Amino acid sequence: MEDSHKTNVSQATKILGIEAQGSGVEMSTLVMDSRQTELLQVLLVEDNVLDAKFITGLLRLPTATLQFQHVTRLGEALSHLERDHPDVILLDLNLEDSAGYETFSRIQQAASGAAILVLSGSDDEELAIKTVREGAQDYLVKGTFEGRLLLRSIRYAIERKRSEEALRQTEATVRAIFENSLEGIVIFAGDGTCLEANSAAGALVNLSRNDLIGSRLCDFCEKGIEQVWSQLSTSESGRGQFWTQLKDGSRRLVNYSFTANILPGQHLAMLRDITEQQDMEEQLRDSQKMEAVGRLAGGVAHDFNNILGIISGHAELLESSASTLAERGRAEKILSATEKAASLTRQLLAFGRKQVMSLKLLDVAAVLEGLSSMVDCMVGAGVQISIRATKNVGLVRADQSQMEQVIMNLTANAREAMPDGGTLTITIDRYESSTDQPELPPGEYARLSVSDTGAGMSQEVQSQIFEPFFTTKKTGSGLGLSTVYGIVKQSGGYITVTSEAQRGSTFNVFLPLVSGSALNPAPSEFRKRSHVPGHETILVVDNEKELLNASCEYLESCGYRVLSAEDGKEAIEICDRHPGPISLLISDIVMPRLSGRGLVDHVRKTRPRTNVLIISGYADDAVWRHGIALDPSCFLQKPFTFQALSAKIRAILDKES
Amino acid sequence: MVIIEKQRTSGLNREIIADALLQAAWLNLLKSEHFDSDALWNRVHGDVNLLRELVDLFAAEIPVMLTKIEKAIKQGSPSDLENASHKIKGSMLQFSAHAAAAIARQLEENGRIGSMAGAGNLLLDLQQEISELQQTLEAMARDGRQP
Repeated sequence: MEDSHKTNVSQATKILGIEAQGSGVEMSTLVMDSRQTELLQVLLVEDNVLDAKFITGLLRLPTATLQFQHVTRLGEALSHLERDHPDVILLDLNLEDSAGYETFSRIQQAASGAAILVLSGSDDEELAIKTVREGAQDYLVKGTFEGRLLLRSIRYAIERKRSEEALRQTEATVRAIFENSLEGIVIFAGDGTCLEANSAAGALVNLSRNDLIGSRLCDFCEKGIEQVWSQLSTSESGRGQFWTQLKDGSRRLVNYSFTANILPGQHLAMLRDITEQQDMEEQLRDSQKMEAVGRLAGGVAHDFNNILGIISGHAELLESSASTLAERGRAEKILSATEKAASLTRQLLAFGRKQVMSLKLLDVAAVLEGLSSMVDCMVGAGVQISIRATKNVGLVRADQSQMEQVIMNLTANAREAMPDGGTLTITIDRYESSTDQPELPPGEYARLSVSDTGAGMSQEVQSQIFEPFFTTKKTGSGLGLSTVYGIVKQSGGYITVTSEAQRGSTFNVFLPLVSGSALNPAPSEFRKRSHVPGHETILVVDNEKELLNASCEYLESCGYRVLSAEDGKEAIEICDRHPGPISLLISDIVMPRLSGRGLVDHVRKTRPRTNVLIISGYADDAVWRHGIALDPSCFLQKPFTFQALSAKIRAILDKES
Repeated sequence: MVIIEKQRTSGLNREIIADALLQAAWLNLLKSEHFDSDALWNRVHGDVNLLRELVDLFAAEIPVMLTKIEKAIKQGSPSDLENASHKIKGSMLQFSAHAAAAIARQLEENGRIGSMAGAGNLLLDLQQEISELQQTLEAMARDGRQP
């Protein structure tokens, strides 16, 4: 360090071409530190040679480690500044090619990093203030300073310039953060007036930044926040939430962080719009709730299906062994009731969205008819219901449970639109589209219309009504109509909406009719009958003992040789022990000790010629979810009639042969 | 600073007193009204070499500046008069030559407002002040001390 000081001093005196006349007095009057021995680059802009000599002469001090460059004209100075970057510029304002403030202004623009000391012959207070205000570090009048004072002024000017530069960079950084922050930032006075704000803060209340400044943020917020902030201004900080309340009726939920008195009487509020975040959280909660309800519904349906299987199985046995018409009639009534109950469990599964799409020819009118009791329950007493279905509309290719979901969602939507009561009208008719309607290609359709007499929707709402998560309701998931839209599109159909203020809305679903299809949809698997006797060996596995026994009794009555087991392990033991072939394994999926998957894997290894039929109270997608690779035709959902079982067995076994 | 109080000068040799008074008056004049030699001496930190360099440069540069003022007056150019007078004013301030600086400031003001009235006489006064100043400065430089 010491050596570098000597080097610097030596270089400076050499450049000046003079001997430094040292004196202990001068050394002691100036505090020496590393910066004072730093070799400083000085640009002297002075057209008076005598004055220039005077200035450099005054600075012949042992502590002055200055390297001078002297120019006499503004043009020369500007050229010099393009090449070099002096630490300080000693500037006379009146030059041959420039005068007054103009000289300072031009130099300042060219030398942003250098300190500027104005050395003027004019004791002009106004000019001095102006130059200092605009960035000069000092303004000295010629003849009023001696060497040590000038040297000190130079050093202080450089320090001030460096501090200003550091401050400017900090300010630029803070300003950039302030301006580009996604969070609103507001600085306001004790009376709530915004003194400074960024664009994000303005956007929260639909104002530009400039309009927000000077306004009171509390004027755009719910009542009470002003009082809260007033209390917070007497403490140090606080956090909370408030709702904005804007003239157009819109509201945003805002999280704030409040810091009192960042400057005397000035408070800082950081604002974050969490409206969408809260909406998403609510949607997630709703979604999780629906998921839980769906799981519950699926579980209930599974258990219920097993019970229904037992009931229907025994009812069929009763029916087949009935000795009188009356006994047969009672058995048929039990079977009919069981079929209705099975329909209800299907709807529960549909509600839980547990069914995969299974396209088949459907009579939409029949689907609607089957749902009419649920529609009644859903709508409630305050709404009148009118259901009209034209007969023989035709068949469409769609998934029954999905069509049920479409009807239920549109019904729920109509009910929500009539909180004070009204009329819900659901109709099904045949519709032929002409070429004049671009939104509906020409063709024949089954038209499902769901109309309400509610308040209707604006054009803007209509344009967004099918977007996922769009909702006008506080508690809506925003998924109901988007699900309808998705199902209709998946089924090759179209959906339109018409609405009129105070008159209500109508949703029209158009499903293409399958040409040439007679109106005799595929019989329900529940009542499918088979009269073909069997002779093969079948292994039946079900942990529902009553259903297992009934199934075995029925299959034996059909001529099959039946082996039975109550779980997977027992079934494996039978498989391994049985000497002859087993043509078919009929197994449940969820069982104690060993699941259907483990059993199927074992059988496929040890008896590759054995066919597999999976029966389950869960929906058919449960088979794949349990990891069993299976042709969909080898699945039968509980509850089923024994006649449907018999038909399925023959279909599998006869296909092989 | 020497204070001249004529009322208290009695009972001493008249010639000595008169001589002292003259000397004091001259010094006072130089320091307080025309030229403050103390201020200049302090400003150059008693550096005689520097003072000599400055006096030599003074002798070379000041006549050039005066010529520019004279030329501006003759040509009736206020801006040139303002610029040249401003320049010589700055130098006079550096030398603590208050009287000369004051005259130069008046000439500069004339140029600024575009008036040549009295400029010639002011120039003569300035030349006279500078002539006397130069003699004093040369004495200081030659003797290596204040007058």
